[in-house]
Amino acid sequence: MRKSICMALVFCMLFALIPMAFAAEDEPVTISFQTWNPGDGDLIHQIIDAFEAENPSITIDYIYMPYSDHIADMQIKMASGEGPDVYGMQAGVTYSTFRPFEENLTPYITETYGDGWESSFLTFCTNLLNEDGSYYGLPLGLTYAGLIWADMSYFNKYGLSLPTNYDELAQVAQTFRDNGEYPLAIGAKDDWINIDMWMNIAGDINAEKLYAALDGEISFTDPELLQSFAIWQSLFTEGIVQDGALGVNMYCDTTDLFEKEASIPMITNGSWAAGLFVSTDESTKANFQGEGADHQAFLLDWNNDGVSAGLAASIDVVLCMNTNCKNKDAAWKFIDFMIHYGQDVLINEGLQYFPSRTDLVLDVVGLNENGLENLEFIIENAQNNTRGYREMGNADVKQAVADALKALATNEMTPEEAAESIDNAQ
Amino acid sequence: MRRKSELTNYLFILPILVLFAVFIVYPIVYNFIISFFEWSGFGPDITFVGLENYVTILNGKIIWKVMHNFIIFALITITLQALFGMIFASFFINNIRGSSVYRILFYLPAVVTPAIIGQVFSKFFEANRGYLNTFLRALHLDPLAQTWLADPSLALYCICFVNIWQWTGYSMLLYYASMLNIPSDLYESASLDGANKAQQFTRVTFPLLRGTHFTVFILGMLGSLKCYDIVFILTNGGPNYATETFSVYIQNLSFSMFRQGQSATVVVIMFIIAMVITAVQLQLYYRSNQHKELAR
Amino acid sequence: MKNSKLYGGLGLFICLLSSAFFIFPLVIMVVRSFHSGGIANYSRVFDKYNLFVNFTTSVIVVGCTLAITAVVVSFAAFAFSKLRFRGSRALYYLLLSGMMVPVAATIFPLYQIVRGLGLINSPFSLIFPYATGSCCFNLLILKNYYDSIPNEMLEAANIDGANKLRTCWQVVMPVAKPGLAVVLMQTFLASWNELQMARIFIADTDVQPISVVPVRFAQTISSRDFTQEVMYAALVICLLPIVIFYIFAAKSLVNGLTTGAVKG
Repeated sequence: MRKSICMALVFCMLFALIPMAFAAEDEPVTISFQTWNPGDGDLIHQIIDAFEAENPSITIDYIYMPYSDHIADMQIKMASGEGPDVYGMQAGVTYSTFRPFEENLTPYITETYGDGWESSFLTFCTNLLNEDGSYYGLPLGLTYAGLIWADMSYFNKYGLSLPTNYDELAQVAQTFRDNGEYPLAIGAKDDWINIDMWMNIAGDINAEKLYAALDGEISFTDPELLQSFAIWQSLFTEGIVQDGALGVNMYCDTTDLFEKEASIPMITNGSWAAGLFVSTDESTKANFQGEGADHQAFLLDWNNDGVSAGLAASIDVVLCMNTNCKNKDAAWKFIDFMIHYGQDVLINEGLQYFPSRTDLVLDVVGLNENGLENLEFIIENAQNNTRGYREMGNADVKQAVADALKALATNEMTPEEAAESIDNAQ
Repeated sequence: MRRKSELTNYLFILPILVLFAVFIVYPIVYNFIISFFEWSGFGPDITFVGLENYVTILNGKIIWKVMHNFIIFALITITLQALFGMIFASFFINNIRGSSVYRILFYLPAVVTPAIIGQVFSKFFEANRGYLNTFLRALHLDPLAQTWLADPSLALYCICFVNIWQWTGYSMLLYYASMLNIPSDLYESASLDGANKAQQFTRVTFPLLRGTHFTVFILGMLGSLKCYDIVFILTNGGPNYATETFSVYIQNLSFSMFRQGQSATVVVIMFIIAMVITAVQLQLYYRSNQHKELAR
Repeated sequence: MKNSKLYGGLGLFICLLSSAFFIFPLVIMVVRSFHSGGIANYSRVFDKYNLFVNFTTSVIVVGCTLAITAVVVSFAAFAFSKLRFRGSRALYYLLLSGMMVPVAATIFPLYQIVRGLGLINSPFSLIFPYATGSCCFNLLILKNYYDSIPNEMLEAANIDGANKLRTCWQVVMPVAKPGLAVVLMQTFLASWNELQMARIFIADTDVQPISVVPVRFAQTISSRDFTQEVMYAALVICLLPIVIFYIFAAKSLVNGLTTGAVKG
């Protein structure tokens, strides 16, 4: 009698434990995902819906924020032990500054992908993110900086051809000005585009010296670097860029003019602008996918030596996991999903980046001929004409460069003074 | 009995003191302490560096630009706002037609959310297709069309312009309320003595507005010191720190440069400046008040 | 006679000109918002955004701020003006010095407190800081106002046997209503339009106060398929509540100033 009661009790307990075992697996979990990129369009929501369908016990709380707000918000929250579970980060300064809150993903990576997983990503990415063998984030996509985009309808209107070097750019700019159009448009209020363009110029003249100087190995007063500052300055003093460039930002003051209004002939921007060819916005669609639309991305030969500039590569968004996260396995699942399925969608449907994975097949949906032309141009240069990285690692140097470029633009500094001020920040 | 009475008196100010201690004193003390450390703001590395932050900031160029901007901005905005405020107030005192409507209209800019009006003004000042330049070019005044916010020598004045636009109505109301307090017999006896309108203003009205002058000045000073919204929306301190204010500098150091220690240093510097100015103001006010009392 | 007419005419002219000056940006905004789309621009905004939530947040934040400010400052002003206690002058100036503190300085440390109280992303994270910030300035105004209330009133109440609390609550405060109205108006405007702290403490775009929403608009119009005109429509919508409130309340604000003044 006693024995049977005991047995019954044991069985009951076992039965009670079983649902608990299942419950532990199916416990609903919410993962918060915060980033400025890939924005708040339909694609990211589509990706998140797909993830949730595959993983019913995980809900993704997506928070979109413009870049500076995003960084400020995360700073404050992480200092208090909170912050989003998964977040987007830019490679460079912020990647190292936020290190205390970036979970070391290496164990997850090796467990999920096995050894030799590095070969499934482009070497550039793995090199950039590798910190003494540990990885604190995974690359969502690559972008390339240093391009100039042209709306050929303006060139055709005035019988001009695409400039290939500085002198031709100056002539074209002057012709546009004489006819009441914008010359080259840049939103110089934003530091990042200034840095992109200057690095493009300096990289064209002598990329090795540029990166050596950024690493602190040589001084910025080197004549070739001084030349890059002088060329940058002349863009403003000679009127090659539009008046009041320092008073407008890129997104959306200047980009709207090019993308939505199609009211300017040239704009400095990067490879991410290729996404315009598959945009769902009405006016952009009309401008880029309509009949006779002709836009060209091009690179310039800044110092008239016959060799045109190259691209600078960067990992646009690094996905990181918060060390404060309470559901790390679920968060990792999401990161993994984003890197694979997410990247596929964002690239092949939205052309938001270029692949960071070696196994991603580029097959963009709905690209017209003009878009395809530009895509091929960018890919070719990405593979054969990339001069180095885009994001600087040293916050002080970056700020000093940003300040110097603005001071040069307002003619408040000479190239020599600018070089000195950056040297001092090292 | 007296003791108990005093204690209950303190109860009245207890709530405000509690709020003050938590939300004002604590942050100031916090900033004061942090200003002696180097910290990214959220990592675990906090290193004590003594006065190094102060040296770095004061040796840098930016803080001096900020102070320079502050002085110019404060002088221009306070003077013009007070001047126009007084002029408008005197019109209303004399019951110009439509006074009540104008009063409402002139104060309206102070009500408008800075974030919103900032957008409109940034489109207004844009060099190529902004409203101002388009307007000037339409009047064939092309040479007058500048790059405004993109020009380091003009940007600060544009910010002053927006600030004056926003807050003149406020000065106007303050002066108007004070002017209402001035008994009309003073004006009557003045005109009997042969004073015309202008003299009445300078001899009667202006001196009696002393309290309001003081208020307008002190509020203007503190407002200029803390100025953030409009600057952030229009220029974010640029171009090249031409419009940098204390608040913008502090925000950028904290959230773009990840330099909590230095940011706290600027807070302390700013606070000291505010205290000095206020103390000097108060001294001047009360000293001349005493003289006035003695003169009676 | 002639002088007076000239003065009147000049004054009118200047006032008309100034009106144009003070109104023009708002006119630009409204006119632009109707370009290329007309009223459809406005419906576009409502399609994409649920501004009602933002509006609710603003209302909650400002409403509670006003309630707290009214109570705290009234008592404090009464105490500093009418009651005697040691250190009242020193404490008064100390409290006034709170006006010098910039918001930027308080964000970081306050966030720790707000988080500790579990108030992140809720309207309550802003209410106490706002109330404190406005208290300092309003203390100045309200105390001056109470100063102008004759002490005889207090003495009369004392004779009637009322204690301090009752005196304050039932006798003095009703008389000071116009002053309080000014205080509340100021606080309303300041906290409704506050940008710096609101941006950071309530970072979730869906529930942000309406003062911050335009900043996000400007930064995100690209991704929302907005044109400039639709953005202007959005700005007008955000501005409408405060303007309507102001137009209705403006009369009592000015009345509050004048009544108090004439009485003094």
